[in-house]
Amino acid sequence: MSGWSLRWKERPAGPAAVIDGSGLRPDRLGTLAWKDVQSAKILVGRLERRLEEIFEISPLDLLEEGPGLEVEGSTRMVRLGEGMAHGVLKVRGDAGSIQGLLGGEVLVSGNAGPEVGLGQRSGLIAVAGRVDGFVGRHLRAGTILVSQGELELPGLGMRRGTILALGGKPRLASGFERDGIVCPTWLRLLARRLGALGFDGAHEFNSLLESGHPLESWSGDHLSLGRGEVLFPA
Amino acid sequence: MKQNSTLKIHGTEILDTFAEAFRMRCARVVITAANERWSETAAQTFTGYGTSIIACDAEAGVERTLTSAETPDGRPGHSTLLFGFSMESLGKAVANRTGQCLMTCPTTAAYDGMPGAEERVPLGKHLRFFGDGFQKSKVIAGRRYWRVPVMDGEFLVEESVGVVKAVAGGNIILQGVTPRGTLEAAQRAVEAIERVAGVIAPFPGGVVRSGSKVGSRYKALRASTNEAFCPTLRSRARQTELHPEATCAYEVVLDGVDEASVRLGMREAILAAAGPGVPLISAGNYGGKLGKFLFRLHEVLA
Repeated sequence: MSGWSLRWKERPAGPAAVIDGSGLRPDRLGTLAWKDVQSAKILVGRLERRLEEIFEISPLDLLEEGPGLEVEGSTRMVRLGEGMAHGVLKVRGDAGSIQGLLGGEVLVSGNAGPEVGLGQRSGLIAVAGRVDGFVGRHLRAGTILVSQGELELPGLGMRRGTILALGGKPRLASGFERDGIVCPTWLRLLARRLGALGFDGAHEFNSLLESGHPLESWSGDHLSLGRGEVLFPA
Repeated sequence: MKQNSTLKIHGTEILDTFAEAFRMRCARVVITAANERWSETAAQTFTGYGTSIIACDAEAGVERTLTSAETPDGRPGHSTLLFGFSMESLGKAVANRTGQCLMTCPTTAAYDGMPGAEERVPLGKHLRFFGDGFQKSKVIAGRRYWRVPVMDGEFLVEESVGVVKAVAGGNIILQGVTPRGTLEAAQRAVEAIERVAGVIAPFPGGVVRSGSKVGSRYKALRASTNEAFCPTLRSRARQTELHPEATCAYEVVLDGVDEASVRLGMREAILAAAGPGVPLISAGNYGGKLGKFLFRLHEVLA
């Protein structure tokens, strides 16, 4: 697999300004040559900066397939995954916001901010820590997994797709209705994929499924198309 | 049949002849289920009535049993192979069999066992419509799966399966002094084939007793019994091919994902079957004019 690992030049957590994470797309940067990655542009605050000014860049050969990008995260890093169509984006640490995903996989080892997966059309977002409220708002399709914490109003206005709330029963909006107890086989494929990608919450997720622990499934948002689902350990 | 040289293995003469095999298309479907019992049931049903393409929609068999660690979803499973003459006929057979034998079977899921193949036939892409609009799909690691709602939850089936150019019709014919000894030799051959990857023996238990020839005295029939190997017709057959000591003959037919796997399967089968009570091992062919692949017994043993 081709790709790049980006580490903050300014220790420990990069520039003090907001960083536009939409410039960190694995499907754009993952296949670029060394020189082109170094000179790729990224918005930091109001200034356009070269990637090499912000990050130490080194080749990455951790992941198994497709273009990849592994970046050190920050709560000031926003719009991660926006426009991304394929590839793997691994965020080491926290993420500010992740939204507008069109495909591919975004894995966060720390926590993430509000509205994770806003308007997501496909692909996977997995957060090993906690997230702020309104995860999966206006989700069109795809999968969002959050390993920890109780979710606050997940999936508002979601049409299709899946939100996995592994930290416990979320506070669900009125547009959701209980379907029942499920043990879907496809989650086992997802758990294995997350394990192969080195996702930090993969082991616990896999253990949960292997133990046969049932999941509760709610469908929604019925104020929208209503073909989505929110799953959490029963 | 030409006989140039003599080759004996454990006292069994290996006739200097060849098996005549054909080009077919092959798909591998990996089946999983909640436990081994249901995976086995699904695999046996899925590959049932798949002995010969002469009268079945496909030639099919269980390639091997898979451990939980070897399957895509970590459950017990079976790898199955299906062979057909064309992409179209094979695709239809795979989809029909999946719909009737896997979707109906408790807890199963069906996956593509040849993800690297360039040619593909649709599977879940068609079967999803059973979901009547309630079906959902997921893309995981670049592969699309369909979740069809059923009464025990969901039937998970991959969107399409890969198809490769394969070889079908490898065979050996073994002749024994006693019926029991011949059957035991045939069983040894099948057990040896079961250990070879990429090969199935599609007939019942891997063994054929009704070896056939092309044509019949009855015009409507394309194939009929091969009297040259029938012990009850030793005197009436135009020319018997039975060894003077033989009272029984069995054929073991092999289909494989490529030439090498068929060759290896035939080799292992001969080595396992040869021994006391088995005076002769030969092979079935049509004179070498019909099949693309000729497997000479002496060459596969070389």
